[in-house]
Amino acid sequence: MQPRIDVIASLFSGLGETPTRTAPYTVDGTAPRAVVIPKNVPTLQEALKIAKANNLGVLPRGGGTMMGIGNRPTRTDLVLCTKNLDTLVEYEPADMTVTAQAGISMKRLRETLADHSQFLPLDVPLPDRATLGGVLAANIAGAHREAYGTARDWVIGIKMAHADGSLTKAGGKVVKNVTGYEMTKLYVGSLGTLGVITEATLKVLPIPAVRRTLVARFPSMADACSAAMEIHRAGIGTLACVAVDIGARPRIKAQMPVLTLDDALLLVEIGGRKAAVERRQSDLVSLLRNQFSVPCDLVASDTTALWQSLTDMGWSTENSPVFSMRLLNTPTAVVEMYPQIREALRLESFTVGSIMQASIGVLRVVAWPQPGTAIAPKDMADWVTAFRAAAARTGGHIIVEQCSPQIKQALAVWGEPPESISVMRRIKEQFDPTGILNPGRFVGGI
Amino acid sequence: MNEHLILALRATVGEQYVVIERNDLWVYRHDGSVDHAWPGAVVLPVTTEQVSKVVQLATAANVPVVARGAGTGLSGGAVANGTILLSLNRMRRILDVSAANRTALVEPGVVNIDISKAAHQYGLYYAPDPSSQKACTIGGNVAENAGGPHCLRYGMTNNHVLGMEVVLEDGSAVWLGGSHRDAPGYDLAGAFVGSEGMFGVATKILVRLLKEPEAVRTYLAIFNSMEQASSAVSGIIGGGIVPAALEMMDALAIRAVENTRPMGYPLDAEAVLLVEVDGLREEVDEDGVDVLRICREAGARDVRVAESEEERERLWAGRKGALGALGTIAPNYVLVDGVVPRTRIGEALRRVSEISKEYGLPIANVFHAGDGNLHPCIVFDERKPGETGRALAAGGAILKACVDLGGALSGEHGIGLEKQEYMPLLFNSDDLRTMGWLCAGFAPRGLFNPGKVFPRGAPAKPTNVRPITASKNGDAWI
Repeated sequence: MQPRIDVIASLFSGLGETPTRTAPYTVDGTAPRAVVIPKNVPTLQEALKIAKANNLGVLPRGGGTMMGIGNRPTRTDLVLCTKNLDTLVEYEPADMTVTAQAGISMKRLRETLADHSQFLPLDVPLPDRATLGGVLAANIAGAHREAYGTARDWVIGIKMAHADGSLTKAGGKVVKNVTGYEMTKLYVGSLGTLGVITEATLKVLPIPAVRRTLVARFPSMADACSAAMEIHRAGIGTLACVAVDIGARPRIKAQMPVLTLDDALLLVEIGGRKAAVERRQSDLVSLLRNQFSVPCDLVASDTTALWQSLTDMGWSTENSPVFSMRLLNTPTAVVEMYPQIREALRLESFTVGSIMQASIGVLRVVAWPQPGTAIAPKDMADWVTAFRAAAARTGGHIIVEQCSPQIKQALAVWGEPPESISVMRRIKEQFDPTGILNPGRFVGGI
Repeated sequence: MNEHLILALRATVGEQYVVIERNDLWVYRHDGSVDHAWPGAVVLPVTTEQVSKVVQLATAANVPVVARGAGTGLSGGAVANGTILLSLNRMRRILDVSAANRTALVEPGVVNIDISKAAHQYGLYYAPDPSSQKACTIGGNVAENAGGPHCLRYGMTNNHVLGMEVVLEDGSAVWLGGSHRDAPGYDLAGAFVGSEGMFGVATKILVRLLKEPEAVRTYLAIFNSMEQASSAVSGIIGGGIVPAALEMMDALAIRAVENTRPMGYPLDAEAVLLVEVDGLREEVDEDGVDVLRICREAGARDVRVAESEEERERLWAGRKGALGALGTIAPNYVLVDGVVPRTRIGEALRRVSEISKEYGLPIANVFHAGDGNLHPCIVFDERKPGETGRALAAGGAILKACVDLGGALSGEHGIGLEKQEYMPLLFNSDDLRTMGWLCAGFAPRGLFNPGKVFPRGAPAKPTNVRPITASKNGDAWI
């Protein structure tokens, strides 16, 4: 038998802030029975021990920007928030590495690095709220992944608080290290199901001397994607290259050409030292002119703000139940499936915006419900299942990033578990034998 | 080894592909380190199905399985003591090279450099380039998360492997990862790379290919002191340049090279720095001008430049042959793979030099300066009483110094048998326990490559002595 609600909150007194109003920490429609914001790492460990002793489901939280990811938790007992663990532990610019606690905001980390002309090349939605720990746990990648990879490629060391309250480290502070297994790879993207990240060390890079964004208009997403593939093939060395549709256009913070219904924009970012950027720009302009008869213009607005606005799309803080999903598939299959997915969402009375990274086969679709229309959860679940089946034929997946709790009840957001699920389950059992960490939220109900 | 098991293994892979005669087992006794042991039987499968069957038989008989590629590893990872040694050298097909997806699907026995050779027709290559790349296999690279001089800019094996088919203890073959990094679930492919053969046997590997750079330029700068060379390294990194490679050699290594294969290095030089920049022609020009200036400002007495493939090979030859050349100084060496933060390289080298004096043994430094991966090479003669023990103790002292400076035990060679007793310098029992959890997730019975990586609780034993004669004809493989 689990203790009563008021008893639960009292278990954690003295460990840090324990807000009595838990509604703001609601996950998938359910307010937790208690919230703890530990003041330091030892109290966070203590909170985990108490949770384990009382068999409470623990939902780790950073800035709360991605709490909608994953299946509905099977238990919503304790939200454990890392936002007060926000110390910048060590930053030695000449080492090109930085160590910070999990609760540091990405905006603060970014500003600290920028003071030394360095940056962490990850696309992070809502960086003023998102925390380092949350970003690593959720492992959402954006447009710059084609040039820089994803979070797993930048984390070199990590500290974790486990379900039993123990604190462990893996990796280190050096950029090249094979001392022991690659535990950092396991933890990044594990969505708090194996432990709570308390600290991480990452590699950083010098900010490119020059960055520019160019834009070209195409009559369709398919055409824009052909151009993207050609740019990739030519090896121009872009930092990002995405096609966006008319629904995504208003979200972009920059002057953009006007579009009609099926038009698409190709947005390309290039960077480097001046002569190299000039060369990339001229190669790009001539490629699009010669092979696609399409003009390509330099975007005058701030290139950082432009790409941040694309990264933020659909992650806004408004309370409207946004539906968003990622299709991962072969480039050809992504291009083929795009119009069908857009049409299906439109029929459900959504406003739809899409971003496609053709060269790596990623389509992100965000759908905003139109005011006053009701969405039938079962219909949504049915068509996602149908598209999943189509994607699976070419080895692809559909991951539902965010949706209403009602839709989640009818749908496994991660899709069918991969064939390695038995290994994943065994790992989870080793790290969290009683299953208190983010219960049920991960792949296959882990 | 049990006769029924041998018969069943022969029935699985064919009579001639199960080796049990002592004379034939000789070559399988050790890898590139000096640890050695007799395997019970060497089994050479040619398909995933055969690997599955062998693993099932081994599980049923409770006989561990140690996978092996080319045996170039430097930490004893492929040494098998009385168990099945699964040699994957017959599985060496390149199954697919996709120019559109920039990937190659290969079997584990494919030699590293052969991937780049197959991809070259599409203007692509496979980036991780351990110095043994003409011999080492991709399966071994995956097991050890192999590095190489060009890791500085392009990352290690783990940054270039997208997924793999793996045979688990129960004989099932499952895919980990795949063409999409963010396929749902834990990053098992990422966790598998660098697991030193303890999680399963990779039977197919999907690697990422990169576009060959349009231009490459290599500089060789000669300095009168290690401090000058180190300050050039700091200047280059601090100037926001990320070279493709940044390698250093000290006086002892320089003289050894000149004694064996003269490269025209001045014999009174104290340090040689190799800097390689690549990318668009414009980038190479811009970065190259800076590299030249920084080296000269740091006090380089001479800077040589190579742009053609032949000239580059020449500049690299001295670096790659350096370890082999140390054989002219003394017959044995202990090669240390410690790594420190870039800003602590100067301190680390001073500590190495102190340790050299303390233990009365010469130590040469040939290393990856750009990422702080030192390779102090303690030179000694095992025929002199007490020298082996002293050399090993000096190696331990260097590893301890690296850890004290915020570094780690191994940059690219792995822990294996060689460094397992040093693990507690870096990880406490709780940390090590999580590694055990991960291993148990993949291999609950501990069938694969048991007894590696984790400390045995016993005091360090002499393991990492390697006769130089083994590498005299080849490149020094670090």
